[in-house]
Amino acid sequence: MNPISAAYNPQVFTQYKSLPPEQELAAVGQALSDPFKNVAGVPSTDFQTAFLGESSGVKSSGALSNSVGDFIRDVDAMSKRAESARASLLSGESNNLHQAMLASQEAGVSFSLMVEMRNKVLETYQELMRLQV
Amino acid sequence: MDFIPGIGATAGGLDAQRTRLEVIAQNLANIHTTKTADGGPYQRQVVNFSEALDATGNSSVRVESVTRDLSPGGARFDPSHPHADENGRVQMPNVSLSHEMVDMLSASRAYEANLSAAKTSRNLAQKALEIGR
Repeated sequence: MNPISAAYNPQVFTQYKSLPPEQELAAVGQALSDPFKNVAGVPSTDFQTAFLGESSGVKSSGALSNSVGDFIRDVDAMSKRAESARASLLSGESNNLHQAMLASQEAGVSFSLMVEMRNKVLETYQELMRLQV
Repeated sequence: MDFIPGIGATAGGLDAQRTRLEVIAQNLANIHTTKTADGGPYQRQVVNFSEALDATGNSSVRVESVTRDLSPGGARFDPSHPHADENGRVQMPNVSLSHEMVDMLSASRAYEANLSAAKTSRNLAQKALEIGR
Protein backbone atom coordinates (compact mmCIF):
# COMPACT_ATOMS: atom_id res chain seq x y z
CA MET A 1 0.00 0.00 0.00
CA ASN A 2 1.23 3.43 -0.86
CA PRO A 3 2.15 5.25 2.36
CA ILE A 4 0.60 8.44 1.10
CA SER A 5 -2.70 6.82 0.18
CA ALA A 6 -2.87 5.47 3.71
CA ALA A 7 -2.62 9.01 5.00
CA TYR A 8 -5.49 9.88 2.71
CA ASN A 9 -7.57 7.08 4.20
CA PRO A 10 -10.99 8.76 4.37
CA GLN A 11 -12.08 6.40 7.14
CA VAL A 12 -9.54 7.80 9.55
CA PHE A 13 -10.56 11.30 8.64
CA THR A 14 -14.31 10.82 9.16
CA GLN A 15 -13.54 8.82 12.29
CA TYR A 16 -11.65 11.65 13.93
CA LYS A 17 -14.40 14.16 13.16
CA SER A 18 -16.94 12.33 15.30
CA LEU A 19 -14.65 11.27 18.16
CA PRO A 20 -14.26 12.83 21.61
CA PRO A 21 -11.11 14.98 21.90
CA GLU A 22 -9.03 12.30 23.59
CA GLN A 23 -9.63 9.78 20.80
CA GLU A 24 -9.47 12.48 18.18
CA LEU A 25 -5.79 13.11 18.83
CA ALA A 26 -5.15 9.38 19.08
CA ALA A 27 -6.80 8.85 15.67
CA VAL A 28 -4.74 11.60 14.10
CA GLY A 29 -1.61 10.15 15.71
CA GLN A 30 -2.50 6.76 14.27
CA ALA A 31 -3.13 8.19 10.83
CA LEU A 32 0.29 9.80 11.00
CA SER A 33 2.08 6.70 12.20
CA ASP A 34 0.29 4.05 10.16
CA PRO A 35 1.63 5.02 6.73
CA PHE A 36 5.15 4.21 7.81
CA LYS A 37 4.14 0.64 8.60
CA ASN A 38 3.54 -0.13 4.97
CA VAL A 39 6.82 1.11 3.53
CA ALA A 40 8.53 -2.05 2.28
CA GLY A 41 12.28 -2.39 2.46
CA VAL A 42 12.81 0.74 4.51
CA PRO A 43 15.21 -0.04 7.36
CA SER A 44 13.86 0.57 10.83
CA THR A 45 14.99 3.96 11.99
CA ASP A 46 14.67 5.69 15.32
CA PHE A 47 12.03 7.91 13.80
CA GLN A 48 10.05 4.92 12.64
CA THR A 49 10.23 3.10 15.97
CA ALA A 50 9.22 6.26 17.75
CA PHE A 51 6.06 6.38 15.68
CA LEU A 52 5.33 2.67 15.55
CA GLY A 53 6.45 1.48 18.96
CA GLU A 54 6.68 -2.22 19.68
CA SER A 55 3.31 -3.15 18.23
CA SER A 56 2.74 -4.45 14.72
CA GLY A 57 -0.34 -4.60 12.53
CA VAL A 58 -2.18 -1.79 10.84
CA LYS A 59 -5.06 -1.61 13.33
CA SER A 60 -2.98 -1.22 16.49
CA SER A 61 -2.13 2.33 17.48
CA GLY A 62 1.47 3.50 17.45
CA ALA A 63 3.59 4.86 20.25
CA LEU A 64 2.63 8.39 19.23
CA SER A 65 -1.08 7.86 19.81
CA ASN A 66 -0.33 6.05 23.09
CA SER A 67 1.79 8.89 24.39
CA VAL A 68 -0.81 11.40 23.25
CA GLY A 69 -3.43 9.48 25.22
CA ASP A 70 -1.22 9.37 28.31
CA PHE A 71 -0.55 13.07 27.99
CA ILE A 72 -4.25 13.90 27.78
CA ARG A 73 -4.91 11.80 30.87
CA ASP A 74 -2.17 13.71 32.73
CA VAL A 75 -3.71 17.04 31.73
CA ASP A 76 -7.11 15.79 32.81
CA ALA A 77 -5.73 14.67 36.18
CA MET A 78 -4.19 18.10 36.67
CA SER A 79 -7.46 19.90 35.99
CA LYS A 80 -9.26 17.49 38.34
CA ARG A 81 -6.73 18.37 41.04
CA ALA A 82 -7.40 22.07 40.46
CA GLU A 83 -11.12 21.43 40.64
CA SER A 84 -10.83 19.53 43.95
CA ALA A 85 -8.63 22.29 45.41
CA ARG A 86 -11.29 24.83 44.44
CA ALA A 87 -14.08 22.67 45.86
CA SER A 88 -12.31 22.13 49.19
CA LEU A 89 -11.64 25.86 49.44
CA LEU A 90 -15.26 26.77 48.79
CA SER A 91 -16.62 24.11 51.13
CA GLY A 92 -14.39 25.44 53.89
CA GLU A 93 -12.34 22.23 54.16
CA SER A 94 -9.15 24.16 53.47
CA ASN A 95 -8.38 27.86 53.65
CA ASN A 96 -5.53 27.77 51.18
CA LEU A 97 -6.53 30.33 48.58
CA HIS A 98 -3.15 30.36 46.88
CA GLN A 99 -2.99 26.56 46.58
CA ALA A 100 -6.24 26.56 44.65
CA MET A 101 -5.04 29.41 42.42
CA LEU A 102 -1.66 27.77 41.78
CA ALA A 103 -3.32 24.45 40.94
CA SER A 104 -5.69 26.13 38.51
CA GLN A 105 -2.82 28.06 36.90
CA GLU A 106 -0.90 24.82 36.49
CA ALA A 107 -3.92 23.15 34.97
CA GLY A 108 -4.36 26.11 32.62
CA VAL A 109 -0.76 25.97 31.43
CA SER A 110 -0.90 22.21 30.89
CA PHE A 111 -4.16 22.60 28.98
CA SER A 112 -2.68 25.20 26.66
CA LEU A 113 0.29 22.89 26.14
CA MET A 114 -2.19 20.20 25.10
CA VAL A 115 -3.91 22.59 22.70
CA GLU A 116 -0.55 23.55 21.19
CA MET A 117 0.29 19.86 20.76
CA ARG A 118 -3.04 19.21 19.09
CA ASN A 119 -2.50 22.13 16.70
CA LYS A 120 0.95 20.81 15.86
CA VAL A 121 -0.29 17.27 15.20
CA LEU A 122 -3.21 18.51 13.08
CA GLU A 123 -0.87 20.80 11.16
CA THR A 124 1.38 17.83 10.38
CA TYR A 125 -1.63 15.81 9.32
CA GLN A 126 -2.88 18.54 7.02
CA GLU A 127 0.63 18.93 5.59
CA LEU A 128 0.52 15.23 4.70
CA MET A 129 -2.92 15.64 3.17
CA ARG A 130 -1.62 18.34 0.87
CA LEU A 131 1.19 16.15 -0.48
CA GLN A 132 1.10 15.75 -4.26
CA VAL A 133 1.00 12.12 -5.39
CA MET B 1 4.72 17.04 35.51
CA ASP B 2 6.03 20.38 36.66
CA PHE B 3 4.75 22.94 34.19
CA ILE B 4 5.43 26.05 36.18
CA PRO B 5 9.03 26.25 37.43
CA GLY B 6 9.49 26.74 41.16
CA ILE B 7 5.81 26.44 41.97
CA GLY B 8 6.49 24.14 44.91
CA ALA B 9 8.88 26.61 46.54
CA THR B 10 6.46 29.47 45.88
CA ALA B 11 3.57 27.54 47.42
CA GLY B 12 5.67 26.90 50.53
CA GLY B 13 6.63 30.55 50.77
CA LEU B 14 3.04 31.72 50.39
CA ASP B 15 1.93 29.25 53.03
CA ALA B 16 4.64 30.39 55.45
CA GLN B 17 3.90 34.08 55.03
CA ARG B 18 0.19 33.44 55.37
CA THR B 19 0.79 31.72 58.71
CA ARG B 20 2.97 34.65 59.77
CA LEU B 21 0.21 37.12 58.92
CA GLU B 22 -2.28 34.98 60.81
CA VAL B 23 -0.08 35.04 63.92
CA ILE B 24 0.42 38.81 63.62
CA ALA B 25 -3.35 39.21 63.44
CA GLN B 26 -3.66 37.13 66.62
CA ASN B 27 -1.07 39.32 68.34
CA LEU B 28 -2.88 42.48 67.32
CA ALA B 29 -6.23 41.09 68.40
CA ASN B 30 -4.81 40.30 71.84
CA ILE B 31 -2.98 43.57 72.31
CA HIS B 32 -4.99 44.33 75.49
CA THR B 33 -5.69 40.77 76.68
CA THR B 34 -4.71 40.60 80.34
CA LYS B 35 -5.91 37.09 81.05
CA THR B 36 -5.34 33.86 79.13
CA ALA B 37 -6.10 30.19 79.78
CA ASP B 38 -2.65 29.88 81.45
CA GLY B 39 -3.37 32.72 83.85
CA GLY B 40 -1.05 35.64 83.05
CA PRO B 41 -1.40 38.20 80.25
CA TYR B 42 -1.24 37.30 76.59
CA GLN B 43 2.26 36.63 75.31
CA ARG B 44 3.24 37.65 71.81
CA GLN B 45 3.58 34.70 69.38
CA VAL B 46 6.49 34.42 66.98
CA VAL B 47 6.61 32.21 63.86
CA ASN B 48 9.83 30.31 63.16
CA PHE B 49 10.60 29.10 59.67
CA SER B 50 12.87 26.30 58.55
CA GLU B 51 13.99 25.03 55.17
CA ALA B 52 11.97 22.17 53.69
CA LEU B 53 13.57 19.95 51.05
CA ASP B 54 11.30 17.95 48.75
CA ALA B 55 12.09 14.54 47.20
CA THR B 56 14.00 16.11 44.30
CA GLY B 57 16.13 18.30 46.58
CA ASN B 58 14.30 21.53 45.78
CA SER B 59 14.25 23.89 48.68
CA SER B 60 11.13 25.46 50.09
CA VAL B 61 10.11 26.80 53.46
CA ARG B 62 7.84 25.50 56.18
CA VAL B 63 6.63 26.80 59.50
CA GLU B 64 8.74 24.95 62.04
CA SER B 65 7.03 26.24 65.17
CA VAL B 66 5.08 29.07 66.67
CA THR B 67 6.74 30.07 69.92
CA ARG B 68 5.95 32.61 72.61
CA ASP B 69 7.90 35.75 73.17
CA LEU B 70 8.73 35.42 76.89
CA SER B 71 9.89 39.00 77.41
CA PRO B 72 7.84 40.79 80.10
CA GLY B 73 5.16 43.25 79.14
CA GLY B 74 4.52 46.48 80.95
CA ALA B 75 2.36 46.83 84.04
CA ARG B 76 -0.38 49.37 84.54
CA PHE B 77 -1.69 50.68 87.85
CA ASP B 78 -5.46 50.09 87.83
CA PRO B 79 -6.80 48.77 91.18
CA SER B 80 -10.36 48.56 89.86
CA HIS B 81 -9.37 46.11 87.15
CA PRO B 82 -10.53 42.53 87.90
CA HIS B 83 -7.12 41.15 86.84
CA ALA B 84 -5.15 43.49 89.08
CA ASP B 85 -2.82 41.93 91.67
CA GLU B 86 -2.78 42.87 95.39
CA ASN B 87 -0.72 46.01 94.63
CA GLY B 88 -3.31 47.16 92.08
CA ARG B 89 -1.05 46.49 89.13
CA VAL B 90 -2.31 44.85 85.93
CA GLN B 91 0.25 42.92 83.85
CA MET B 92 -0.15 43.94 80.18
CA PRO B 93 0.72 41.77 77.15
CA ASN B 94 4.16 42.23 75.58
CA VAL B 95 2.60 43.06 72.19
CA SER B 96 3.88 46.28 70.72
CA LEU B 97 1.68 47.88 68.08
CA SER B 98 4.50 49.42 66.04
CA HIS B 99 6.47 46.17 66.16
CA GLU B 100 3.52 44.19 64.84
CA MET B 101 2.79 46.73 62.12
CA VAL B 102 6.37 46.52 60.84
CA ASP B 103 6.19 42.72 60.94
CA MET B 104 2.91 42.82 59.07
CA LEU B 105 4.36 45.01 56.33
CA SER B 106 7.31 42.67 55.98
CA ALA B 107 5.04 39.60 55.81
CA SER B 108 2.77 41.21 53.26
CA ARG B 109 5.72 42.28 51.10
CA ALA B 110 7.19 38.77 51.28
CA TYR B 111 3.81 37.32 50.27
CA GLU B 112 3.65 39.72 47.33
CA ALA B 113 7.19 38.75 46.31
CA ASN B 114 6.17 35.09 46.24
CA LEU B 115 3.07 35.97 44.24
CA SER B 116 5.08 37.82 41.64
CA ALA B 117 7.50 34.88 41.44
CA ALA B 118 4.50 32.66 40.69
CA LYS B 119 3.20 35.13 38.12
CA THR B 120 6.59 35.43 36.41
CA SER B 121 7.09 31.68 36.14
CA ARG B 122 3.56 31.28 34.79
CA ASN B 123 4.34 33.92 32.17
CA LEU B 124 7.57 32.09 31.32
CA ALA B 125 5.67 28.86 30.75
CA GLN B 126 3.18 30.68 28.53
CA LYS B 127 5.95 32.34 26.55
CA ALA B 128 7.58 28.94 26.07
CA LEU B 129 4.31 27.65 24.61
CA GLU B 130 4.46 30.43 22.02
CA ILE B 131 7.50 28.73 20.45
CA GLY B 132 5.04 26.57 18.54
CA ARG B 133 3.22 29.52 16.98
